[in-house]
Amino acid sequence: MKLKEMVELVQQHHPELGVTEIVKMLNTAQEEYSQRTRMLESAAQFDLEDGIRYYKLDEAILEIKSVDMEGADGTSDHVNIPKLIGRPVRRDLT
Amino acid sequence: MASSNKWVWWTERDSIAIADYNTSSEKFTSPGSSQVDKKITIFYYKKADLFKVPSDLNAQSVSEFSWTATSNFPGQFHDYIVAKATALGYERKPEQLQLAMYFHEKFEKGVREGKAYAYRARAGSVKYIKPVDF
Repeated sequence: MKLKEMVELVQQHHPELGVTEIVKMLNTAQEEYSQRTRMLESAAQFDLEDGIRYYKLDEAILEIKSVDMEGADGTSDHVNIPKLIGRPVRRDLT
Repeated sequence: MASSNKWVWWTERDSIAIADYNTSSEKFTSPGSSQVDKKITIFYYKKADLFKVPSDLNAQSVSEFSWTATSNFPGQFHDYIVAKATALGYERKPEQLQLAMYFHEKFEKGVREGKAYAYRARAGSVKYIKPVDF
């Protein structure tokens, strides 16, 4: 369904609402739907840097499912690495 | 117990942390020169891309507005997005709150169906998540 059809369906119930307002409502609905259903999945890559432990996450990420690291097992393969339960006792901000 | 190292990840302050964990000393070491340019791949659940709003003052957004834009969700779930927007409209009309509740309930049905669809991973079977002992 195209955006135009969605807007027209809402306008059948709310002819007094403008397009801008309806599009904002559709976006509110989309945000809630993606958060609650966890239906949309994706993947992203970045390169490790010397001495850098923390890498900023994109705002589009709701929840990380898994992480692969190139060379984590000493080979050139991309292998799954485990998630740490909790946080390190000794923290650093690098 | 034998000492061993393993790479681990965790999230903190809107970031992902990658470190080498020594199980014996319980120390974490950041990536070093031998890990430079090694790829990290993150698999994740994402937020939906939002429709561009036509009245944005930002000129670039105006040009990106498109009536033919489609939602990221599969077509069978678009009705539920419309239902939620319709419910939000009825919420502004105190005399028609019953209709708001009807469309909210329709959206809730869509959430249940969407969760089931995501859980089956579009393959008709359940998702397999490999347990990791750590």
